Amino acid sequence: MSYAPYEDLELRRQRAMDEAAAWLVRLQEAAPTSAERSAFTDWLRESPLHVAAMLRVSHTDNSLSVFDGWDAIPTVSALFDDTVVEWPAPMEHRVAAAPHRAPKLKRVGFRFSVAAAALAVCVGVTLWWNGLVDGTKFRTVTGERRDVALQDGSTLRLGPETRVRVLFSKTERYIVLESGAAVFKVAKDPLRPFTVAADRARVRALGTEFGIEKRATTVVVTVVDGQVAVVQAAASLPAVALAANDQLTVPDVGVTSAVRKVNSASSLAWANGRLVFDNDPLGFVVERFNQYNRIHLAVLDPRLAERRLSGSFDATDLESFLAFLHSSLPVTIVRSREGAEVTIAGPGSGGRNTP
Amino acid sequence: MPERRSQGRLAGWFSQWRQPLQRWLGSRRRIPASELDDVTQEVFLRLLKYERAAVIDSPQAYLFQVAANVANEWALKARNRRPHDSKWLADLKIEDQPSVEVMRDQSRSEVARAVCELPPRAREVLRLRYREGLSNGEIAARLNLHPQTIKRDLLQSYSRLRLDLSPELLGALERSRDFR
Repeated sequence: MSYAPYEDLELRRQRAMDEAAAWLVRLQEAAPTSAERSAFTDWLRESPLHVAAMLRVSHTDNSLSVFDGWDAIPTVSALFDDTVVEWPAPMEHRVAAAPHRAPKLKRVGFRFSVAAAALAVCVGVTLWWNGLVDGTKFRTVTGERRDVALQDGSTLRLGPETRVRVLFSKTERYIVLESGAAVFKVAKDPLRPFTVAADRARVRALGTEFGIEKRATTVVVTVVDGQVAVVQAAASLPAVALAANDQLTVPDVGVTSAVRKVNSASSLAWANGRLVFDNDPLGFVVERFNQYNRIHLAVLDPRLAERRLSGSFDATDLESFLAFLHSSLPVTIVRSREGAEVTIAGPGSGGRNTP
Repeated sequence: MPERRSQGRLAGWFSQWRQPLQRWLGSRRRIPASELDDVTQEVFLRLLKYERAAVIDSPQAYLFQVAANVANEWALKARNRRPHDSKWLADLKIEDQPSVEVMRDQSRSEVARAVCELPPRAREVLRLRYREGLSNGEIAARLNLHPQTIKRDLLQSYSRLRLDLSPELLGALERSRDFR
């Protein structure tokens, strides 16, 4: 055929693309046999369209191989349940760490129902990336707690020093927990999945209540009500199901701890202005108080910071806490002259001993 | 590190044509998009000129090597034709060069957007291929599907994806990966 009408060109281009894709798939799999190399050579020498298509599909292949955002691309495995927490961090070490029975991935039947949802998340992720939608931002400072009612009827309770971004669309409710901690009461809306992103973790919910806290090197998920599943993006690993009063701590690196049974009311007591500690080190306790108060507490002695204590405190009633400390541990409490700093020291380090 | 692992898996014979490919992408940057078709035509003609036997040894490496050569010569010729223009253009480009960070985000979101247009299972297959570095057989086992299905998904993805990212954007992505 010496004359190709213009309409044909697009078709021929598409066919060349298909054939080039087939060659790429073939060539990636293993070194080609000499018969295949010969066929490939002939194919290339058949038409400039083939050359163009092959260069192009190789370009695509290269773009995909240098792309580093796979963790944020929603896939089937992330969407098998109505409530999913996804931890797409490196997973090699986590196999041994999840002793809990987890729901089996149902492979057939959910595919179509989730396709729409997957697309929705996809759109959300892309928008987020492009920065086209900035979203509504909420932010709390030291000592501040704040309730936010969202337009869909869900509520957020933000802990102190917390930043969230809310991106709502017709098909999706997407929230980014940039720092701090929050409790989410999710209003049911099966058509609009509710997704919270914290670091590399994503929590998906339809109607449930759970808290997420972003600490320095870990993310802690505590479920109050309903069900949540922790899914690992390397899909060979089973999901970990969290029910009410389950808590899972996932570090940025290393091994996930087993699911803990906790009293979710006390774990999330900060949402009601209380801090509840159960055999926690003093250093951690002090850090929590500092999020709520302008008066800064400091523990200088590292051994003292390791001492453990339990108790339930009003987050803003520092005096009661200091009185408790003074009576239960051998400590000296030293106040700076302006009163903005309180140092908790070991016994016999001098200073005025209040309270 | 998953990226390293995937490079390890795909290494071996496959990397033989990574390098010529990079060279082609690198030299392509100096060709205006409007002239790319002409460059491709020239690549085709040159492939015909070479002995078939010579090409057959490693056709894909040959293809990219030829493409890189043609692109380089093309750019050289263009510079000789309009020395003043291209110098002026080069100066202007340096001024307008967006930061690596901006370009990286741009290329990332471009890839993400394109991948997101594929069906969910096809995305999962791509992720397992490129992030985890799995072979078709391994992906099939992982997803409990027939290897033929994986192959079909990949085929469709490749012919549907239009990821002709500019080499600058690709470079930005690559550099960002090295920094991590």
